[in-house]
Order: sequence, then C-alpha cells, then structure tokens
Amino acid sequence: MIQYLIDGLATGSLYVLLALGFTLVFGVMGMMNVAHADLYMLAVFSFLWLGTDAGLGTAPGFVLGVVAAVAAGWLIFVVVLSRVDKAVPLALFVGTLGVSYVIENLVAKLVEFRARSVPPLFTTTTWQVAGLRITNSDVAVLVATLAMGLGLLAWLKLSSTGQLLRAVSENTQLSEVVGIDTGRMMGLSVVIASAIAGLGGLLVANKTQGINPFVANDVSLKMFAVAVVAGAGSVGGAMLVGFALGIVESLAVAYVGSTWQNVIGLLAMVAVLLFRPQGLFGRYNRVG
Amino acid sequence: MLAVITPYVDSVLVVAMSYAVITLGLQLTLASGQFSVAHAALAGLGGYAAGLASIDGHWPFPLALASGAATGLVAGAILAAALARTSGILLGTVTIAVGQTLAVLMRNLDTAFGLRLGGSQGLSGIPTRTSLGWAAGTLAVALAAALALRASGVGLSMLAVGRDETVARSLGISVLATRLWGFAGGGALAGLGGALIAHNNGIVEPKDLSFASEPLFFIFLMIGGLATPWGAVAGAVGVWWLQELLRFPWSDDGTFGFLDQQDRYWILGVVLILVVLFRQQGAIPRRALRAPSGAAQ
Amino acid sequence: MASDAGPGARPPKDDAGSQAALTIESLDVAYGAIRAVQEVSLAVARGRVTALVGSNGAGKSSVLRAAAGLLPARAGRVLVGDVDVTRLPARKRLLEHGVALVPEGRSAFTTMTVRENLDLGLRVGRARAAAGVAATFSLDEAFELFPVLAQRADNRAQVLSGGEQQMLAIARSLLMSPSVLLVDEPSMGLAPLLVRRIFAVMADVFERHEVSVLLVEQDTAIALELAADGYVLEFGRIVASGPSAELRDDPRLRRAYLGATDALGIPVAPVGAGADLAPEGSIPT
Repeated sequence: MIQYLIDGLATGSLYVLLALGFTLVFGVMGMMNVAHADLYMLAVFSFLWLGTDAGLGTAPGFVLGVVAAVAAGWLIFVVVLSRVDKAVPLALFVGTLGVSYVIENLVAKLVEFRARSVPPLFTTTTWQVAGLRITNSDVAVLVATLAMGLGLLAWLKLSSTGQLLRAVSENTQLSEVVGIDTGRMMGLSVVIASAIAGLGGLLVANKTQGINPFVANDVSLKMFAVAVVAGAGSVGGAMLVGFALGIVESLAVAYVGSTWQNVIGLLAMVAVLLFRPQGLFGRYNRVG
Repeated sequence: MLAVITPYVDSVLVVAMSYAVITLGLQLTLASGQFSVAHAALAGLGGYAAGLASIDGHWPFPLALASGAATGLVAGAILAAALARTSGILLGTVTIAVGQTLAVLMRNLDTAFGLRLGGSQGLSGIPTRTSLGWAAGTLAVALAAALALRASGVGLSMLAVGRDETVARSLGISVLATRLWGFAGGGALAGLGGALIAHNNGIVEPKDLSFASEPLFFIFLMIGGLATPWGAVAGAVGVWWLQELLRFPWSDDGTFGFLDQQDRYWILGVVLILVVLFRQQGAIPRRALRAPSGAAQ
Repeated sequence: MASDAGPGARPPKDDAGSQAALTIESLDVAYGAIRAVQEVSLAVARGRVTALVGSNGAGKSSVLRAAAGLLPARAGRVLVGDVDVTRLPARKRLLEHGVALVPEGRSAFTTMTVRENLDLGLRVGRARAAAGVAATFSLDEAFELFPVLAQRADNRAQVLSGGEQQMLAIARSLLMSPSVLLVDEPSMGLAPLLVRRIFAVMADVFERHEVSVLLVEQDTAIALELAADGYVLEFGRIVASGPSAELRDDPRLRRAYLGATDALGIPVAPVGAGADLAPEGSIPT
C-alpha cells in the first residue's frame, strides 16, 4: 500500500512538473499551449544529442537540455502565442497543435522514429526502508518537484516581479493602465514554464531511463486534466491535484487493473467541471 | 486528368465526402460559439450505432444512416446539457476528455445490451454499402440542412451566441437552447458522417473516437474557412484530395528530393501554423467588431 | 460668457499664462467606420481640474482613452506640456510623461491586497522619481487621506466596497506622480451619497496637491462643481466650453442632454446613471 503511494508520488511528479508551467501560462496569458509537454521531450533529446552523442558530458548536456526547452518555448511564444487572438480558442488550439506536430515529427525523423534509452544522471541507489523500495532518482524527482512548485508559489506571492505576473493574470487591460509591460510578463511566464518542463523532464527521464518522440501524447491530456481540475492558474492546486492523480492511478492499477488508469484523470476533470467549472482552487471564471 | 471516375477516384471521393459531412457538424457546433473537440467521438458513436443497425438489425441503409445521426444527436445534446456551465478553452479541454474516455470505454466493452461491440478489435463485418451516390446524396442533404438551419431563426441565434454570449442574452436569446442546437445538430451531422465512414471501411474501431482522430476535421475547417458550411465542404474535399495527390510525387524508394513520406506530418504542422497565422482574419469575422484597444501589445 | 465652440474651439487660457498640462488638438477617434470623436480640441490647465461632460455615448471616454494611449487617434495630436506623445503606447505615456488613468468601473486588482495595489502605483512613482519628477504624495499621506485603505491594507481588495475600490484606484494613480490625471466616470455604479463623498475627497486631494486633472463625468452638476473649466461633448464634437461657473447655465449644456430632459427641461443625468449597459468589448462611451 505505502509502496503504491511512493510510486504514485513519483508518477505524480511528472504531472505536477508539466501542469505547473502549463497552468502558469494559462493563468497569465489565458492561453493553452497544446505543445507544452513536447518541451519536456525536447529537453531530454537535446541532452542525449549534446551531452551523450556530442560528448559534452552530463552536466553541460543537462544545462543545454533546459536551454533547448526554454529556446523552443520562447519561439512558440513569439511565433504563435503572441500573435493569436486568445478570444478564438480554435485558432490557439490548431496553431499550437501544429507546433506539436512539427516538434514531434522533426525529432522523430532525427531519431528514425525510435525510442532511446537515457543514461542515468547519477548512479542509482535503491534503499530498502521497512520493506519499501525507494530509489535516489525517485527522491530527486520528488524533491525537485516540491522545490520548483513551492519556489514558484513563493516567488509569485513575494517577489515584485511575481506580483506583476499576478496582476497581468488577473486583468491584462488594467495592467496596461498601471504601466506593466504585459507582453514582457507573458514572455517571462512562458520562459519559466519551459524551464520547469525541461528541468523536470530531464529528472523524470533519469528515473524512467527512456524517452520517445511521441511521449507528449500520453501525458498531455493528464496535464490538461490536472490544470483544469485544480483550476487554471492555480499553482498550488496543480501540485496537490498532480500528486493526487499519480497516487490514485497507482492505486487503481494495483486494485482495479490498468485498464482504466488513463481515464481516471479525465473522468475527474469532467466531474469537477460539472459542479465547479472554475476548478477546485481556481479563480478563473469566464463570464458567459 | 479528367479520366472519368476510376475506382480509385471513386474511393477517394467517398471518403472525402463522408469526412465533409462530419466537418459540417463541427462547423455547426463551432459557429454557435461552442468550442468542441469531440466530433471524432460523436462520429465514432454514430458509426457504431449504424453498424449495429446494419449487422444485427438488417435495417435498410437509409435507416442505418438515420440511426447514426440520431445517436450523434442524442450524444451531442447530453454533452451540451452536462457542460452547460463551461465554455471556451475549458469546454474544448473537457470535450477532449469525453472523447478519450469514450474511446477507452469502447475498447473495454466486448458486448453491451447483448450486442457485440468487438472491444479493442472494433466492430467489424459492417456491410460496405457507402457508394459514391450515397455519399454524394448524403452530403447534399447534410449541406442543405446546415444551410437551412443557418438561415433560420435558430441559425441567427447561433451566430449571435457565437459572437458574444452576453449580448445574445441581452437580446433575449436563450444561450442554453442555442448551445443545445449547436451540439445536437453538430452531433447529428457527425454521427451521419461516421455512419457513412463505417459502411465504407466495414469496421469502426475504438481509436476512431479518440483525440488522435480529431485534428483532421479541424484542419479541413481551418483551411476551408470557418464562417460557412461551404467552407467545411470545400476544406474536407479539397484537403483530402490534395493529400491523396501528395502520395504520387514520391519515387519508388519513398523519397522526394530530400523529403520522404514521414515528412508529411511536420509539413502538415507547418501548414497548420501558417493557416492560423494568416487566415485568422478571413476565418474569424468577430475580429473586425472588436475595439482596437483590445490589441494592447 | 462661455466661448464659442465648434471645430477650432480655443482652449481657455489659464491665469498664469504657463502652458497647459495636457493639450488635445483636433483629435479624431474611430471604431471601424464609426467616428466616435471628431476634431476635439481641449486643454487641461496645470494644477486645475477640467471636466469633459456630455450624455451617454457622446464620446467622452473615447477622448480619455485616446489621451491615455489605449485607443489610437485617427487624426490629431496629444501633447503633455509641449511634448507630442501621440505616437507613444500607453505604458510609455505613463512612465515617461506621467499620463495616468483612473479607469471607469471597479478597477482594483481584487485578488491582490490593498497594499499590493498601491505598490503598483508606487512602482510607477519610483520610475518617475528616477527621471527627476517630484512625488505627488507618499504612501503614508495616501493612508492618511484614505483611512479606509490603511485599515484594509493587508486585506484583498475584493473585500472593499465599490466606493472604496474607487478610492483605491485614485490613490494608486496619485502615487504614480502623474503630470496629468485622467479620471473616467468616478460616479459610475455608486450610490448618490457615496458619489458626493468621493467627489469631496477628490476636491480636497486635487486642490491640496495641485493635480492637473481631466475628469470625464456624466453627472454634469457634480462634475462642474469640482472642475474649474469644462467642455461639453455632443455626438463626438465639442459644442461648448469655458469656466465651469459660466457653463453651468449655458443653454448648450442643456441641449447636449436634450434626449434626456425632464418636463421642466432640466437635464436628467442622475447620479450613478452612467452605469453602462453595453457589455465589455462593445464601443465604450
């Protein structure tokens, strides 16, 4: 039982890491970036190409992986997000879906449509504590997730830049009136989101030790579900819901079977939206 | 090129026209301001229903098609009623979830109500009854229905709600009723198109309902134009025809210059981005109505 | 006697003979094919309140938003002192030239605390101070003037009433050390008693700190009481202007409200009637 909990927390970390950035951009820009989860995959492949294949080494490869995710995120912002009218969800959806096609299929072509194994960032150790198996890579992911989530939360609440981001997220027009450079704040939110996705992706790949170009297809929907159930823009909520989803999935696989594993989050999303359209912790309330 | 209608051209046109019917459904729902990403699922349900009507019920083809449309209509109406409080991007996201959940459901249901659904294998053995004539006829009926609806009072309400729900409400238009029409009507057309596809392929599979099947219809619509039913038809038939043509330039080893067949997908992505960036104006009339202050950046 | 108006109406001269804080010259604003504002010229005297009055839909807010840089001017110029800012975006007009706007309606960031809202104003004030502009007033003075803001400093602005939110917005914009303050329909959506109080507070603050203000208001009587000078806008054009005391009795003011006069021919512009029924995204008045 507790073992499932631990496994669930590790799985949940991935959902949290992706949902954090997704919900930040959603909150600040009111836009959903379908290609967000692809940044995680891109970071891992960049790490493999530069760190492993080009022989730059683990640490430089790690840094360059994160840089690649940030660069790609910035490009998506400049080319698509900042140009599309957010009042037209269809254009946003199709545009970022196009970005996703481009990233996934170009990477896939480069690796000849094959999955790759990822060399560990550090030597894996497994601890046996009271009959439970815990690896240091699990701990690394969990600690990094908590650190990034809580750090982001604190930064938004306490720093002056975080305050500006919150202002833009609540009311973009009024933010212009009080002299905030809203375009810059939106770009900043995308950069932070991409960095978290890249950093998180590398730590998760270190645990799962494999990556394929189409991995985003599996996790994207869960990322949406976590962000929507928590309430778009709610960073703390995304953490709670992400971990909860990981644990529930892990328990479901153990006691119900793996059949329904992938729809639990989706069903939770539908259920929450029936009764609380703004999400569990959300303030986002579109009038009309 | 006009080498009459060869069997090959026939088969391409049948699929293109069936897709056009589904795209008409998507256009109808989107035109009423409801961002739904579940039309592949609605079409899939229509396909299952019509397939069962043909296999188990031995119903005549028109009735089988009608049962597909009815299934899509009911499913769409349920969706509209259940999600009445959600709109915009959230509505899109949750309809993705509904479609995905339905796909998983069908994958795990071997039988239901004593009827064979086939589980993960899908419902096979559907008689292949969709001829070019049936496809063209159904498309004509669907297009006529979509155009008639658009010209009616309901159609005007849809346009109003699609532009601005608050204004529509202040004009005494029931947003809920209009949504219901948008989803139910769109669902019916999607179910009808799904029934055509099912009777062309001879099989409906759970994956046909999933999110992965959805982008196709959005691509048709974005390229054809969102504003009218004609755009849906032009987009579906035109784009499907184009992608068939794209099969030919490849040489025997599957390459074309430095490109090979697998490049089709990222090229498609680039096309999508370009369409969104450059066709927004034509596709979305509401932009012109906005105060310039909206463009704050 | 109020001066003649029309396309070339001359701005009233201010007593000191110094240049105006804000000058608008032959401004045109259009929404697509609809010309909301036509050849509007006006001047806001330094350290004084100038009112722009007119009925609902006359184009008052469009003038204000164009002055703030939130709406593009189709033709004409906007000058701060003698600097032409017509081509500058709203943010630069605020940060570099001190054109601050108090938007109509509730304009506090409700999910942020009162103090955080004021911080946003101080942030602009600091940028202005770095450019050598003296502060209009300090945070302490703001709390002194608006005691309710001090009491609620660490509460979310959500808990403030409509009137308190309006005071918060005014305090926030004064902390920006504005060279000219644009105030949009402060009476909107507020109870009559509250409107009186807010205007009393504004009169006090504006006078004490010699703020240059362009006030847009539908409630003519109360606006002209606060203002030294006034302009009357009708169908997007200025039809009368002059010192408020003279304008108050000007028949053209009444005519501008012709669509809304009662049996006695007295303008019906009830306090709080400015509540705009048009939804967001439609053409502002």
